[in-house]
Amino acid sequence: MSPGGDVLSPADPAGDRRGGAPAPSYGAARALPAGGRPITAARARRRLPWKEVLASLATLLVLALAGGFAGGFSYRDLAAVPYPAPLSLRQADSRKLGHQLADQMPRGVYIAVDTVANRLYLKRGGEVLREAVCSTGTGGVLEDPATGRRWVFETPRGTHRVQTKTKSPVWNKPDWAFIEDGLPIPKNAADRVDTYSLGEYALSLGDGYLIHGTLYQRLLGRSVTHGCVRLGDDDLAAVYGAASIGTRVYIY
Amino acid sequence: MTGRAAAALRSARGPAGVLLACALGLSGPVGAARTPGGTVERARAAAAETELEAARSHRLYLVLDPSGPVLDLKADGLVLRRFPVESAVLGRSRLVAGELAWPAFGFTLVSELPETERPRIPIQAPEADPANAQAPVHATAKPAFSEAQDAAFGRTPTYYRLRFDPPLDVSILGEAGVANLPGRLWRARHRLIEGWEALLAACRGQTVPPRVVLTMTPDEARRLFVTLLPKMRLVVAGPPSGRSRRGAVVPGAG
Repeated sequence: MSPGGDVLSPADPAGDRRGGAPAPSYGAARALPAGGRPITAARARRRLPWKEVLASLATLLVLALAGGFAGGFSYRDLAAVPYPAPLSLRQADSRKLGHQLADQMPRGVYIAVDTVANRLYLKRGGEVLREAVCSTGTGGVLEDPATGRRWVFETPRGTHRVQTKTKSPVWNKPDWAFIEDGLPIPKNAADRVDTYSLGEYALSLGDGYLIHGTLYQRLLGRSVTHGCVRLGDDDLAAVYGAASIGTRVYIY
Repeated sequence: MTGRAAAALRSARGPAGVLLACALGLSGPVGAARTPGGTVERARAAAAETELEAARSHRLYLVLDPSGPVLDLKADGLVLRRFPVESAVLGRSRLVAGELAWPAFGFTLVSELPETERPRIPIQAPEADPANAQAPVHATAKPAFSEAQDAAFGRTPTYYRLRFDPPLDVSILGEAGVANLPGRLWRARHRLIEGWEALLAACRGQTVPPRVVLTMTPDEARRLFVTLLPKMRLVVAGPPSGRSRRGAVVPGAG
């Protein structure tokens, strides 16, 4: 037996002697000590103080359960939990506040963009006027190996408003568009002008983010953009026609 | 006995008065909700005020309706997306004294949201063909890259805990089969761990916040996770009309 009491060493000659009669061989279960006979798994099992081990395990389990129970949570169904007592509000406030909340809602059409499902909804109140397949940001990162500049291509979640509406929009390509394509960044501003990529219309949401068309309609429904929202031609025309400057756009 | 019943008893003595008082007393909870300053109305007003504050911020916020239970993503008072909740409970450590109740109507998310796994966009080799070189760069999206994005969404956690201020923990359990054995074992292990966490926190003199546990499908749990924004508001919806008749509890309404 080792000084620790429970540790079994294959090289422990005393332990080996206590094994008694040779045990049957179990092939792979055998372990060869440094200078003696093999110790079989059966013999090793015999020498474990099982009672002490089990008692220790049971104690640990009871302690774990007791501690977990003592500090544990008692739960109630959410619907049965009392509300905090509001002292400062009167009964009439409820209706008034309800009206004020309704006043916060957009009066006309609004646009909702689901970036996970890649769907755009043109809505009025609770009514869906049009559901369109769109493409939103990849969420990917582009790093310029030369300068270390970094761009995250994510469609910005939150509440926005249509800031400008443009027919036949022109894209003034930013640096990342050239870096991603492995091209040198042009020094001449005219070399950045792209007149065909954005489709027929564009609605600006600010900070360079647009709702626009695409040449690659087969990729609609996938998260492939650099943060803009791309739409197919028909849907883009419908959204462009229905939205006006100030129309709210909810991206989630 | 309600105020109306007591007043009737005072004004009309005798058997008729008792009958009138009993008749009015039977309508107690409903009457309580309708009386000026009724607790149900006041709770509803407080919840509406909290949501109004969130709506005026023009940011996305969450509304948890305990009576559903339903979790809504909202902005400006509009429901943008509904997260179906299979079960919802609120609990508190046994070490905390007092009656279990909602600590407030509105909370602010204070958990630091882990940075989403962002795939790196490969830089393309320039096209030798001048015609192709004119192709719009931002339109040459790679389907393989999009699939990598989908895979990243698949790795979004389905079990997580959110911390709010005033102190409230919200545990999201994204498990489809609530009643299956692995789910129950996971939950038992989870309860044991949270019990020990609460015990250790109490030993260190820290407060143990109440905890809401929402169970939803793994996909909804992922969707909720990617919807979260820093400092997002969580509003507890007030009791709906006629709530007291369906057994929901409001302070002072029994």
